[in-house]
Amino acid sequence: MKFEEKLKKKRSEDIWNEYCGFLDLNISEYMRIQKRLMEEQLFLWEKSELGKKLLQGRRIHSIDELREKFPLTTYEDYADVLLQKKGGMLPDDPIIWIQTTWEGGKHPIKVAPYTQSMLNTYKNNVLACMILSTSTEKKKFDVKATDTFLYGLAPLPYATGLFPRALHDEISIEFLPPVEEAEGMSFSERNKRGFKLAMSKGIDYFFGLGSVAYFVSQTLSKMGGGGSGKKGSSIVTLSPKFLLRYLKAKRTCKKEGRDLIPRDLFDLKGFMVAGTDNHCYKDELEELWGVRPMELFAGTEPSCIGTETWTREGMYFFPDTCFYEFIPEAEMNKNLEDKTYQPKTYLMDEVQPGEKYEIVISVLKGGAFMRYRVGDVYRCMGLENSEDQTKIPRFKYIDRVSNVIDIAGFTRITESAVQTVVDLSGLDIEDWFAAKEYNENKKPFMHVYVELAPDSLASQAVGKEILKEHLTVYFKYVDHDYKDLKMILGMDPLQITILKCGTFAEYERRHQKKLRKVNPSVYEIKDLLELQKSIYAVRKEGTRIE
Amino acid sequence: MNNFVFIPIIALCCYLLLLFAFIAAKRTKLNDAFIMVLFLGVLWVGGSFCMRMEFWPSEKLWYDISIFGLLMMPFAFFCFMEEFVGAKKSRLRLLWLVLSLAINIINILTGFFLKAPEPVAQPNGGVGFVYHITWSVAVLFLVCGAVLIHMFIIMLRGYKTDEIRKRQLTPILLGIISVFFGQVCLCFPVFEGFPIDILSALLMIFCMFYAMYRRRLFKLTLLVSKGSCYVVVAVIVILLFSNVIAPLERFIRTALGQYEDRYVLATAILFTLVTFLLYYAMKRFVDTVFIKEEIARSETLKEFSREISCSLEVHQVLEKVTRTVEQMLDADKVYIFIENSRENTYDIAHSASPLDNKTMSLDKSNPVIGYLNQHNECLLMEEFQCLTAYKAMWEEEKKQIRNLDIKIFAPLKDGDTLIGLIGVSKRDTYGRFTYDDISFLTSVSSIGAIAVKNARLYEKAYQEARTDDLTGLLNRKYFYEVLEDEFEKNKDRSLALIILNLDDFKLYNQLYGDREGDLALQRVARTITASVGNNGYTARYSGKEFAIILPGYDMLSASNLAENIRRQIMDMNKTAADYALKVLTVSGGISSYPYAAGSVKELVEGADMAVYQVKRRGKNAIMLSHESNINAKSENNVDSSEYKQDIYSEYAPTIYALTAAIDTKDHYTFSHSKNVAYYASCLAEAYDMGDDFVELIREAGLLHDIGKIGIREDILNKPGKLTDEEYEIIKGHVESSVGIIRHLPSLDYVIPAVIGHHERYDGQGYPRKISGEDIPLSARILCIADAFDAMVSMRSYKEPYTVEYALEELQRQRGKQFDPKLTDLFIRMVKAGDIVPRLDRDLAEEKRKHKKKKD
Repeated sequence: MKFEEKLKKKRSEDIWNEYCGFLDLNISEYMRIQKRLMEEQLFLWEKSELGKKLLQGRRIHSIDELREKFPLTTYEDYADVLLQKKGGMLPDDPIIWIQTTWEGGKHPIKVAPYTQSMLNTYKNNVLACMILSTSTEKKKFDVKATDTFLYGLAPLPYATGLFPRALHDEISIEFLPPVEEAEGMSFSERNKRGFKLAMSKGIDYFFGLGSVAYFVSQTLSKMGGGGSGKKGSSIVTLSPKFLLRYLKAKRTCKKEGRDLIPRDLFDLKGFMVAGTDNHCYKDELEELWGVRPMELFAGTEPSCIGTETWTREGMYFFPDTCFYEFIPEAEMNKNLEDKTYQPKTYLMDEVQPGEKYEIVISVLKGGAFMRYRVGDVYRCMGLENSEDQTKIPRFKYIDRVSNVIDIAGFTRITESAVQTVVDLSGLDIEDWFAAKEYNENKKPFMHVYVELAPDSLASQAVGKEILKEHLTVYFKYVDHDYKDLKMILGMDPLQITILKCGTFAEYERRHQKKLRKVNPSVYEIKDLLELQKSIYAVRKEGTRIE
Repeated sequence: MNNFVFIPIIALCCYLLLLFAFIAAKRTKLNDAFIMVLFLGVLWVGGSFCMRMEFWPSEKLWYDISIFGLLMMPFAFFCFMEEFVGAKKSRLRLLWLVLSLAINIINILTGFFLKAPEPVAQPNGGVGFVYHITWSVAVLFLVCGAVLIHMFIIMLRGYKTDEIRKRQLTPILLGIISVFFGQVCLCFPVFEGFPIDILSALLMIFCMFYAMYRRRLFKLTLLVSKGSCYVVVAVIVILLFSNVIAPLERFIRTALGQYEDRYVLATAILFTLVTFLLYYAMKRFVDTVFIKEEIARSETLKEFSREISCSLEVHQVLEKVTRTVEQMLDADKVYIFIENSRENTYDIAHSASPLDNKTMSLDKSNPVIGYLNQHNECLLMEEFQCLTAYKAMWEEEKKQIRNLDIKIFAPLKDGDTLIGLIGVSKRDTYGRFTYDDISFLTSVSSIGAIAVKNARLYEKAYQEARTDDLTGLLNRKYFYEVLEDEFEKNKDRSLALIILNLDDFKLYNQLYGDREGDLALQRVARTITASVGNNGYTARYSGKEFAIILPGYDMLSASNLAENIRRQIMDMNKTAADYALKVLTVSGGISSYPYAAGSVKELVEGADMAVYQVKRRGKNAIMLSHESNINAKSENNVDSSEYKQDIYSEYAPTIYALTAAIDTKDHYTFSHSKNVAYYASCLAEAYDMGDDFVELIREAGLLHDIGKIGIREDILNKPGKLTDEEYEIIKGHVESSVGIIRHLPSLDYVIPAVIGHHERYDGQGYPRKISGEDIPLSARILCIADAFDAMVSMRSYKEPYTVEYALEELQRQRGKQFDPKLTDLFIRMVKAGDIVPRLDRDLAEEKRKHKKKKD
């Protein structure tokens, strides 16, 4: 029975229990589901060619044995099989391959297989997200087949493109603009068309990356308030109901002396955001739409794995999508310092409130990834919550792992990407490090600290602006998503600081260690900047004189 | 009485009928609310009718009753709606009750709101009632209106919740609309004199009834009984005759003509006939529509219970359960899963058709099993798919259930234990199960569970009476029964009997303990059963003897089979995991009818004799009974004592070869082994062990350090303290010793002693860290002898200790390293001179000389 039929034929309480019933599980029931499905996955995976290849002839008999003997994996381990889409080697036949950027400058894309069973689970989980996004309390939700959905997502083959397709199979919700039409449009075309349709049909749901949602919302404000020459014609297309609302909103705005914002025109039922840096946008999005966005976690490799509830107080992981393991922060740091170190992992029933964890997933239901490091860091917010009456741990998304810089969910900049950019730029940069930082408006940007070669100072024009321009050009060249940041969001995420010559060498001398190239800790950065105040200089050969 | 008087009567009857039916039905809050509505309906319509009929005692009383019913009706509707929607109890409820009661009481006492109507004689001779309506009647409308508006609000809230609720409320909404129109119609002159209000209220009641039925709040069959039939028929007949009696009279009088005076008789007959026919038709209708299926089901259930209680065979019980479910539920397939404790699964033990796929089994961790374990009710797969527990299902498990098309599972429970489950797939296109289907299945599964449990217990007891506990083979008693039976059956064919007797099994038990002995017996039994398969019967003939009855076998094929089994048993303990175990062998005898025996007795004796002959001739072989007879005759003259010689003596050369080998490498170890053999055999003898055991201990003493052959000489003869690594190498000599000895099947009986001679009584030794009596006796003896000799003899790393010191040390380690009893005995023996310490003075002297020379 499709979800739409269920809405007609089933009691709302039964629908809630079917999709959101996992919130009522206690931790032992939750773990029972996790372990049982993991046993199934282990059984399938071990038999597959991929499993045999990665296990290198070892036989694994239990989950504990797997965790003990099989090391954590990254995409490199699967690349040769997955990039060539060797479906026959996988635990189950893939129905669709989802694509994303792998690592700017080094590997263009990575793909992840989705099996039928994974897609079924995905459908159930996105429906659960949709139900929860409209809920105001437990078992109270408002989803109708006649609702409308503003399409703010990248289309297939990206993971976000699965969302409307999965919903489309289950409920005839109207996407603005329709999915088929939207897939052939550019980002700005989609937005314009979507809002135009919204003016006559209204918007019930909105889902996108936090950053994109923010940008789109601001666009709407501009469309509504900014003196566009075509305003007259757009008013003509409004339905009488919206026309009335529009005029009323305009009057209010004028009275309050502000621009038109989406909440003046639309009553959102459900608002969902995903991706990184959502915390930077949530408050403003709530202000713009009048509804606090509900965060969910969906990625290319793990699919849709977690959602917040009506309380918006942390995410809960679906028990049937992936088997979750957690690397505590201390172990994560140990591994950053020593790549060969195998960090210890803990299960969902072992996490501690307040602790930061890197998540490790094994995709269930015939998925390819086993003990896979997605590269995301979460903080456990608590093991129970009296407000939404849950007895399972809830988490807050923190950021990507610290050796990756992700700006607004668009880029995945690693050390090698920055190095490639530096090399390609031809600038005489002696040393550098990059860190993700936030500006006064709480918006993220990438801060690259460079030290120029002393020789070039006299021979080349190496001003801050020149460096920035140069590096930006090559960042765009190396990482296509970086280009989108500017193009889609109008963001300029790069900031350059030129360090005094010899600073890196001095730091190394004083601390007897090299500074991490990507995201060193704030204290380390502070130390390094402080260091510049002291007196030292550098000779051509790099020998220090004082 | 006007023409429409039958409408209030019918309405009254309907109210009464429903009222009695619901009073008899299961009481729920909603049913109670509906009863209240019906009761007030009875008061309203009944009161009004009695008033119009001017019944005793007075019109005023009937008017008051009628108006009470009418004015309380909104409150009753309100209560009903609250219960129906499942809304929280409103705080205004009490207010509405008080207000409704108050206006009634005031009106009854004063007639303030609406006075009782006055009877007015009608021109047609009847009596009409005229109401004097004043402004105050608006108060009544106001109160009733307020209550009804509140009811509407509750209803609309429920209407909005979801589609299901919407559909459930629709009939009630229609009912309300009909009441509304009923009241509106009263204003039109067309309906003057027609009780449209009563008719519309009746319609409303039916709508409510239907809404409740749709929600399955009661079973229709429970409301329909014989009594209801009587009442309905009586009402119809009365109404019919009251209306047709006059025309009927005219018709009969005309038709009968001269027999006009028999009119009463004719009417009576006609009346009776019509009543009977009506009752019959009504009953048929009720039976067909409501009760027939139920009667059939209860009959089937009764028959099923009777049949099943007569059967004690699991297969028969399962067959009956399957058949009954299949027939009554119109099921496509019925599967019965029964618990398999060994595999931790529930396997299909029976299904309706022999062609059904029975390979499926449900794991005990399967969520379906989990649910049925926790709940005592049937599990509809459609509903289960909506539960969170379903998320834990494997795709393969979902597929299996889908392939079998199982729509519902019913538990077979013995108390809290799930002993099995019934899986049913439905034939019709919708594949839906009704409430009755589920009730029936629940009853069948409850009765079936008890029957299955009893039958399984009986079969278990039956099996236990005929089989041997340890090996699961037939026991000796049942073996004779089967043998007699098969002998009779195969008189025209052939029958072979193999008896297999384990060699030296007593020794095996002594060496490894009874537990290991039992395990060996089980392994042997499994080997034999696997080889024989369905071709014959296998029995445990005596403690260490197995018998195989092979119907249709001749000597040659029986001999081949026996030889095959003998070889398998000999190879049984040769796997790496069993390296410490002695090789087991069997001696077998075969007898066969009609070739070598003419009766059962002869058959058994022949096989026994053959076994005896094999034992005499060195064991580990198979012999045919006729060969044994020849041998027996020829050996009669030979002195049998030559077969009774010491079984160990033949191994002496091997032992000497091995000890000589160690001698060439390490003379210390050689002399040490000889000494240990001496001490240990003395101690064993004093401990009252038999000669065989003493000999075993002696040989174990000689061989216990044979593994040191593999250790580097520099480590063996290192003068100083050993490093940890070197010590580990030295410790490895125990396993090396066993590794050498296990390749010599004739010497494998010394393994337990060798492998355990470095174990400590307190469990801190090596290699197995076993303690106390778990260490074989031979090893405990060897341990004392080994330690004593090590102390009193000269070693590369130490000078010899004195005997007194060594004995003190033994005493100190008594109960820690050494068996206390044996230690005491050993010390006593040394002190008494029963054991003479072999001191290596000569050897020490020799070493000193050698050293001097070197210097």
